[in-house]
Order: sequence, then C-alpha cells, then structure tokens
Amino acid sequence: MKLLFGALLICLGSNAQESGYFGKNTFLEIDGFGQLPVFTNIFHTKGYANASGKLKESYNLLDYSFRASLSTTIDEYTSSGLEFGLKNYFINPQKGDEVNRQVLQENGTVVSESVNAKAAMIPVQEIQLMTKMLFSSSSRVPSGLSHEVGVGYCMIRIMDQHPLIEVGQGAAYDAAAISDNFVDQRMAEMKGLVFSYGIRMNYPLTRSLLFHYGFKYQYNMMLGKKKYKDYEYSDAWFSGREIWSTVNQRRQLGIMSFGMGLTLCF
Amino acid sequence: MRQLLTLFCAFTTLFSFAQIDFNNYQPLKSAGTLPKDFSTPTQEKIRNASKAHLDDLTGKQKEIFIEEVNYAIDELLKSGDVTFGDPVSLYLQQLGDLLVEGDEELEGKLRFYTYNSNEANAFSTDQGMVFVTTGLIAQMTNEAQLAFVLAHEIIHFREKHVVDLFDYSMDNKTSSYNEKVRLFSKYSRDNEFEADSLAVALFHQAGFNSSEINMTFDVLMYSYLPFEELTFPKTYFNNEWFYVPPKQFEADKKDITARSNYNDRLNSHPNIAKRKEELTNKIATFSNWGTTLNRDIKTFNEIRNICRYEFILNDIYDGENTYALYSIFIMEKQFPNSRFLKNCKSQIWLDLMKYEKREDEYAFSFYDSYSKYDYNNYTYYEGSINTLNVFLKSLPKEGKIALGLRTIKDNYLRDTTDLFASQIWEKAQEFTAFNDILEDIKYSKYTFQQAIEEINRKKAMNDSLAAAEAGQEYSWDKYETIKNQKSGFDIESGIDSSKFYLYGVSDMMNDSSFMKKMEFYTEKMKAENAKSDMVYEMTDDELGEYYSDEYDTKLHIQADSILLINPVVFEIEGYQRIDYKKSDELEKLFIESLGKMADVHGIGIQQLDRSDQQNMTADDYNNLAQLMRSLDKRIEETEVNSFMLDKEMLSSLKEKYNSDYVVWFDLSHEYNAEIYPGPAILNTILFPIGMVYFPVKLMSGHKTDITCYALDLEKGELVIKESYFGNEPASRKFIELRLDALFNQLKQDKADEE
Repeated sequence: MKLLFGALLICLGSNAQESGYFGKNTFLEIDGFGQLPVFTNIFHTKGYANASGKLKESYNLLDYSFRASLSTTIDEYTSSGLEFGLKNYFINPQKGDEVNRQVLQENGTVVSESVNAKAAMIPVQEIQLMTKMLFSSSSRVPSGLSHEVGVGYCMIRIMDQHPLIEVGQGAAYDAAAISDNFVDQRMAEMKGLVFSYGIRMNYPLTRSLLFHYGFKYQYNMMLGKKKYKDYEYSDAWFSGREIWSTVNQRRQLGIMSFGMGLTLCF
Repeated sequence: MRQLLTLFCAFTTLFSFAQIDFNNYQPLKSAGTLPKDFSTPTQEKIRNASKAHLDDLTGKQKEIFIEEVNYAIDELLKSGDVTFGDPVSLYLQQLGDLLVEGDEELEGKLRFYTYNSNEANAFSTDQGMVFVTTGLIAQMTNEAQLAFVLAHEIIHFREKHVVDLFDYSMDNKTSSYNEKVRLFSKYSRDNEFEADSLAVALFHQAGFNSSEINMTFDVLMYSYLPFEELTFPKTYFNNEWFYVPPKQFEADKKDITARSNYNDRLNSHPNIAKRKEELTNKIATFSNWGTTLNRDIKTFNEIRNICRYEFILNDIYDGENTYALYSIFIMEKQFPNSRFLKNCKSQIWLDLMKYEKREDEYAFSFYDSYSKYDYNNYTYYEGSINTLNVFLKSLPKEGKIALGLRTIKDNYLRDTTDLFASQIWEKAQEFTAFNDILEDIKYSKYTFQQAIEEINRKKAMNDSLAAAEAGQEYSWDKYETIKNQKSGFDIESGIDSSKFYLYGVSDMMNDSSFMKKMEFYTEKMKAENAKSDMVYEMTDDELGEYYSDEYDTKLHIQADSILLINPVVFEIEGYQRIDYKKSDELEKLFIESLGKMADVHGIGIQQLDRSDQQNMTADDYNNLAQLMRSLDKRIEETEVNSFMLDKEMLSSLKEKYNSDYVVWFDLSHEYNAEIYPGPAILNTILFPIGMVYFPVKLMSGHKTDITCYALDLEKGELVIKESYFGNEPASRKFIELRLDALFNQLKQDKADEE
C-alpha cells in the first residue's frame, strides 16, 4: 500500500508543461463497468436466485463494478493515477440438487453428509486498489482513444453468509439450520491481485468534463493458495476450499467488461 | 450599341496590356470584382444547379453529378491558380466572345479564366466556364491556334459533353473494369471528334486561317518541350570574369521523339494523326476561309509573353531549374535588361548551390542507397535543352557554387540598390561557406585568361631554370604538384580546362570583404555543426530531454498576431472518397474553433480564408493565392530556406495584415476500422483473441490528422511544420483541445524558456 501511495505522490509531483486537458493536469474519473459474460456464459452452471424469499432458477451472471480514480498527466500522452474500485458479483454454491459437507471428527475420521437442498447464489464484493497508467500514442490524455494498464490489490468478501435455502423432501436438516451454518467463516474474506488492460474513448463534453466508454480486460489472481486445501473439512456446508476455488474460478472467467463514466479535470 | 461596347472592351483590354512592364514584371494577378463563379458558395451553386434540367440523368445521377462537378470546380477556383480580370483572362474572354458572336444560344453564357499551370491544356465545364492554361498559350505561335482551342472547348459546353460522359459512365456500371475503360475511351474519343468537327464552323465564322487548325495539334504534341527550340550558345556563361570552354557544350541536342500516330485505344482523346485527318476532310467542306492569324500581333505576343514569364515562374516554384534557365535564355533575347529575369536566374543558381544536410547522419541508414538516388536523372530532356542539361549535370558542386556566385554577384552589381539582388547575394555567400568546400577547393585569383598568361610565364621561367641547371638532379615536389592540380593549375601540363569554374570568381578571391564574409559564415557553420555534434555525445536520457526541449521550444514563436489562411479540410468516407458536404461542415467548424481558441489565448487573428470568398476583394484573393503558392514551395523545401523570390511580397503582407506569421492548417478525418475479411475470420475462430481484436479495431477507427504550418513573414522562412495525429473523432471539442494546446505553445516566447 505504501508503494501505491508513493507512486501517486510522485505522479502528482510531476508537471508536463504542454500536457493536460485545456491546461488541467489532474483528473477524477468515475465510471461503472459491467462484465460481458463471454466465458461465464459457457462455464457457469445454473443455480438459484433469491426472488422475494423464493428460489428461482437463474444463471445470475450479474457482475458490475464502480470505480473512482484520481490521476495526473505526466506528459501529453501519459498519465498515472490511483483507482478505487468496488465490484459485485455472485458465486454459485450449488452442486447438483444437494448441498454437502465433510466434517472432520475429533477422532480424526471424516463424515460426509449430503442434504437434498437448494441454495441461493452468494453475493461477493471486492474492493480494488489499483495503480494505473493511462496512455495514448496519438491523443491527448485524458481525451481521445487511450489505453489503460493497471495492477491492483483486491479484498474479497462474502456479503451474504446466510443464503436462502430450500430443503427437499426427507431432508435431515431444516433450511434455517443449513443457512445458519452455510459459509465457512475461515474464508469469509480473501485477498487477490488484478492485472488490467483497458481501451477507451474519451469524448470531451466541456472544458473540464469528459464522457468515456470502453472495454476492460482483466486477469484476476487469488492469494492464499497454499492454505485453501486445509479448509476442505468444515462444519459449514460451503467449505473454505469450495469457496476459494469457486471465487477463483468465477474471477478468472470474468475477463472482459464494458463500461462508461465521466472524467472531471481540474 | 453592342459594337460600341465591344470596341470599348477591346480598347480597355489593349490599354491594360500596354501597362505591362516586362523588365519589372509582377506575377499575374486577378483584378476587379470577384466573379460569381468565385464568390457563390458551393452549396448555393448546387441548389441552383439542381433546378436546371439534365434530361439524360436520373434523379440520383443528377444529384451526384451536380455535387461532384461543383465541388471539383470550386476546389480549382479556390486553389489560387485560377485568375480573373487579368490581361490574359480578358483577352481570352474577348476572343471567346468573338467566336460565339451572333450565336444566341451561346452569347453571354461563357466565362473564360486563366489557369496558371505549365501543362498545355484547356477545358470547359457544364456551368459555362472555360479554363485555358498559361502553359498552352506560352507554346502557341499565333492567335488562330488559340481560337481553335477555344472553339473546341465551346463545343464541348454546347453539346453538354461533360454530362454526356458522366451519364455514359453511370449507365455502364455493370461492365468489367477493362471493358468499361475500353468503352468509355471509345465514347470519349467520339466526343472529341465531334468537338473538333463542330469547332471548325465557329473558327471559320470568325475569319481565322484554316492552316492553323492542324498546327494546333503540333502545339499539343510538342508541348512537353520548352516553348521555343533554340540552340543553346556555347558562350552563354562567358563574360569578363567567367569563361566556359566550348567543349563543355559538346553534348548534342537529343532527338525529339513525339509522334502523332500513337496507340490511342485506351485514351480519352484520339491520336493526333487521326484528328488531323478528320479535320482536313472537314475543312474541305467550307469555302471562303479567312486569312487572320492574329487580329493584333502585338497584343497576342504580349499575352504570350505574360504566359511565358509565368511559365518560368512555375518552373522555378516546381524546382525545374534546367527548364527555367533555358526559358530565361529564350526570353532574355527579347528582354535583355529584365530585372525579373535576372532575379529569377539568381534564384535558380541559389537553389543549385544550396548546401545539403551533412550525410553522416544517414551513414548507417538501411535505405542509404535509395536516399542517394539521383532523381534528376529521371528527367528526360529532348531537343536543344539537352545541351544545357548535360552541362549542368556534369558541373560539380564547386562549379555550381562558382557559377552561382558569378551570376548572383553580377546581378547584384547591376543595381546595388535592388533589395532582392543584395539579399540573395548575401545568401549566396552564406551558402558558399556552408558548403564547406573552401578548405579543399582553391578558387584561383586569376581569371581563366590571366591564368594561361601566368602559367606561360612560369613555364618559360622553369624552362630557363632547367636549362641553367642541366645535368643536375631533378627537384620534383610531389605535394606541390598535387596542390596545383587540385587548383586546376599544373605547370607541367598547363591549365586543366575541365576545372574552368575555378577561374570564374577571381575578383571575389581578391576581395578582402568577401573573404571576411567567408570567415564569418564559416565560423557560424562550425558553431552550428558543433551544436549538432553534441547529440553524438549524449546519453539516451539526455537525448530524450534534448529532443523534448526542441519539440517544445520550436513552437514558441510568441505569436501575438497571426494571419490565418484557408485551411484544407477533408472528411473522407469509404475508400479515400471525399465527402464534400461533410468536409464543408467540418471546415466551418474548424474555422470557428480556430477563432475561438485564438481568442482564448489572446492571439489576434486576421483571416484570409475561402469561407469568406463572397466578401473578398481581388487584392485579398491575389494575396491568398500568392501565399498558398509560397507556402507550398516552402513545405517542399524542408531543410533549407533557399527560396527568396517572394520575400518582398511576404514582407509587404506583414505590413498589410499586421501579422508576423501566416498560419495554415490541414485537417483530415476518416473512420475506417480496417477490419478485413481474412483477419476477421481468423479472430472469430481464435475466439479469445477476437475479444480484444474487434473492440480495439472498432475503437481505433477514427483517424484525425491536423498539420500546422507557420511562415515567418519577415524572414520568409517556414518555422513550423507540425503534425498531430489522433485516434479521435473530428468533433468541436477534440479540435478545440488540440488547438488550445497548440496556441498556448505558439503564444510563448523562446526567450522565456532560456
């Protein structure tokens, strides 16, 4: 984190004489991005969404993010900045028509349990802190066609630890009991990295405001890979290992997103 | 009444011709009020034309035809190369009116303009404009030939051949390309035969001599040659100081190869032999032919002389130095004391002696062999001009410098109060020093004749010494001999006459003030070279900073007031097709943005652009035309500002428009995503790559190119030539943003940086 702030300070300190947008060299960007379900559409299995207290079959590919960043121009074609992002998406805990768990007993034996039940998709939220460079080979940053490259640190959080559960006939546990103990607390928060490339077109609206739209391509990496195997056995119905690998898979499939926003220069 | 009016016009025209001073010639200028052809906006012309009946064309065809023709003609009218109200145009109008006299269908409908170009050509448009090039008139021997050309073009207009050809080409869209070319060519040739044939009647009616009809085709056939075919004299460069041995002009004139019976199957015009044959038959059908060759030979000659002077100017602007020198040699026979011709000659020699950028910067260039290619060898000189061509080609750099110095100094001495002559003499001295040859090449302090006498004297002295020292050992000095040989001065074998140029500037070699000037400019050159040599000793970082500073500061010209001339704006649609309507809109937007941004940065602007052509005076029109021509020349000459012929004109514009710089923009925009079927299929198959390929291609399809040129009116030098390419739409804000940064830089002063 110190490194990120250090980089931002260096950038704010530099001042290119002829750069900037109508002479303004610092700019604040606010935008929203939605993931294009190019791969998730192929690999994502169907699950259930919570529709007013009832489970409804759904792919629930909703994946959107909001970002705000502060940048400064280095020269006519380059700028550098720090971005704060908030990303929301869903993971599917469902495997077939049941939920199951493997509980490690005190005597060392493993007891497997499965219940005929349906679980709603679980919302996940990421906070991303990213250093990024915006550059263009031909336009004056931040206007025109520009390319954005960034590396960020992600804090991932399971937002709903008690998802809606519907149990089938003859289930050994009731829905409330499963829901109460559904998410493995050891993996309720995770860490990750993101490498991002974006291409976008920035249209000047006024002498200090621009509108932009564009595509972003991201490669997401999860940290803590060594630990996740240890979380295979759990009292919770959605074990730490399952959470880690599901989130990991979901993030890796979310490669391409499209978004738009505004840039305020000052 | 009409006769009185015609007489009045003829008198006015003749009176205006009498004013032409060929010794102090001024380039051809338009005069009077701007004709409607020039002042009416293109869109208005299109609106008016769409009301007219073009029976052969369908609605859509008519729309395309009217738009394309009007925009194309207006581009020409706004280029500055077309003049109105000038002696040549008035003369053409008078001759054209004579040809259509009594023809109710044509009388008063035709407007004749001069198109200043060395190409021998004439053409008419369906709006009734007839353009004749100065290059064509320069080649003619009498008025009758010109009358036939005008008659031919008038028939093209009367018979609506332009519309006819367009209709034909539109109706044959489905043919293959080759078939279309063949059929179109045949159709066009038929139109030409028809125009020739019907023109004979107009020509006959005006009383011209029929013998000149076929002669007109000889004019066209040999128009690639200079306008006269005279033997170049071997003594042309000889004078009190300079002597060129006759053997330097031993090259024969080259055979003239043009022939009339060439293969015309794919041409728009029939070959000359066929046209002559057809016309001979047609001429025979008329009787009572007139005998007029020239109504007034003095007037025709004056008009032709104007065109020949323009011919020389055009050659100089185009860098065709050999042609220009040969043409000057011809015109000097008629005007031996012409200041204009002498100044033109000085300009040509300055161009020939200009230094080139040191080649060591390109020493490792992969393309070295291409960059050193002598493009001049492409030019093929036929006829007598080849003698001059071979002489100039064989003249080494030091020879060009000597002959250049000689010519320019002699011109300066002719009239030392002539500002242009003195400025160009100063520049010639600078170029001599900058060529850096004085270290190796020793120009003699003797003239060629004096050197011969001197060598004979020394030889006699040597002989007597040798006789006295007979029997003693020889005292040869190899190094002294080499030094003498280099100076074209060898006691053993006499003067090396192939180095005649070394003896042509002896007066300068004996002139201490000239030698001091050489020392001064040599020091200046060394200082500039030392500065550029610093680059070789820089690290990559230093080099980056150096170029960045250079980039910044070269734009800092402290432009408080600028003269903006008409930007060239193109909106390109599809495959390199100009969308004229959108181009017009973009041009309007661009001019508005220029005004706004200049205002924001406190830069005063004077506008001299074609958007205001409705309110333009002839004076402004001429100034704009001359500026465009001058800028074009300077844009080509990027390395060295050696063109001084129009410096006087530029300085006068500085006063007139109260601006230090002329700024000119060039803007083009197109959207082309460049997604071609092959890569598109491949990227679709390679699905994940396509996810990047298609968005990137689609988003980077906008291509906007803005180039800014700034010409220093005081120095006459192009100080800025900067291009900005952007993958962005050419919208108002994008343009304003680019101009904001640019004007911010232009406003700054270089001194502030230091």
